Amino acid sequence: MQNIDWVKEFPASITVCDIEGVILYMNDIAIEVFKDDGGVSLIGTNLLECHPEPSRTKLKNMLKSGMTNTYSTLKNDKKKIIHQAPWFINNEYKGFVEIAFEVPFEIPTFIR
Amino acid sequence: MRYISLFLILIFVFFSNKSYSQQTFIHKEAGVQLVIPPGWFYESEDNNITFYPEDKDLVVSITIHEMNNVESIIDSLISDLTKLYTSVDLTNPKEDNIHGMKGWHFYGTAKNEEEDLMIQYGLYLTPLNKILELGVVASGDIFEKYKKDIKSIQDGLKPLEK
Repeated sequence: MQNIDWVKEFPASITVCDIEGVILYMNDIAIEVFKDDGGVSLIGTNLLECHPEPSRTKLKNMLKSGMTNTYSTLKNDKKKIIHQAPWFINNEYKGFVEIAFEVPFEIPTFIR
Repeated sequence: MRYISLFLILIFVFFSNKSYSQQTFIHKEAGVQLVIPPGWFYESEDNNITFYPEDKDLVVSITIHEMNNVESIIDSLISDLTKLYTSVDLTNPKEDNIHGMKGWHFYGTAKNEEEDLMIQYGLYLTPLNKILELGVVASGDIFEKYKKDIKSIQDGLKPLEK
């Protein structure tokens, strides 16, 4: 499993940053989504640099606290789920992953 | 037929350019229009709209609320700012009126980890009974850099022209 790069072409925008906010990885969709902001060249830059207040402080607090943040957006009649969660190696906090993907307006809920 | 098509294209180009040069953002549900400063961009997601300059070093955020208790919206805003920043010092909300729309505004200062910040918020009752919140938080130098643009956005808020 270790050598399978399933993330690269996974149909969701996936961006990974370290605890300082430096972008370490963007998959193909993330590069496409953020092409107007620099696309692949964003790797190595700091997320804080492109977030003015109040997002900057919110992002900083999120990086510091390591607390998961999930919300949905509605733009051009498209609904997206944005999930921002910390990632770890051997239980050591290493930064954040943002996964963004489109969802239908009505999502079935199965009570199980 | 070819002349008619050319005429239609010219009309389209004329009105497209006109609309671009006017830089007007329309929110039909709230019944208002706003001026986008030249060279600025906007993004709109549901009832959240952001105006930002090319450098993306400032955001003017606009939120359309359903008609509600204005005081509770202001209280919630102040509470959010207090949670986010330290040394938050805001004026009491003062009544305002912009192009016939009743409103309230407050401003003040706060600190984040690196710098002193300036805060400016206005809430306005729109012709279609919504509350439009317009806010800016930025460091003093960024505020100064875009002072004219921020003012043009605030002054450009008015009921939708028919």
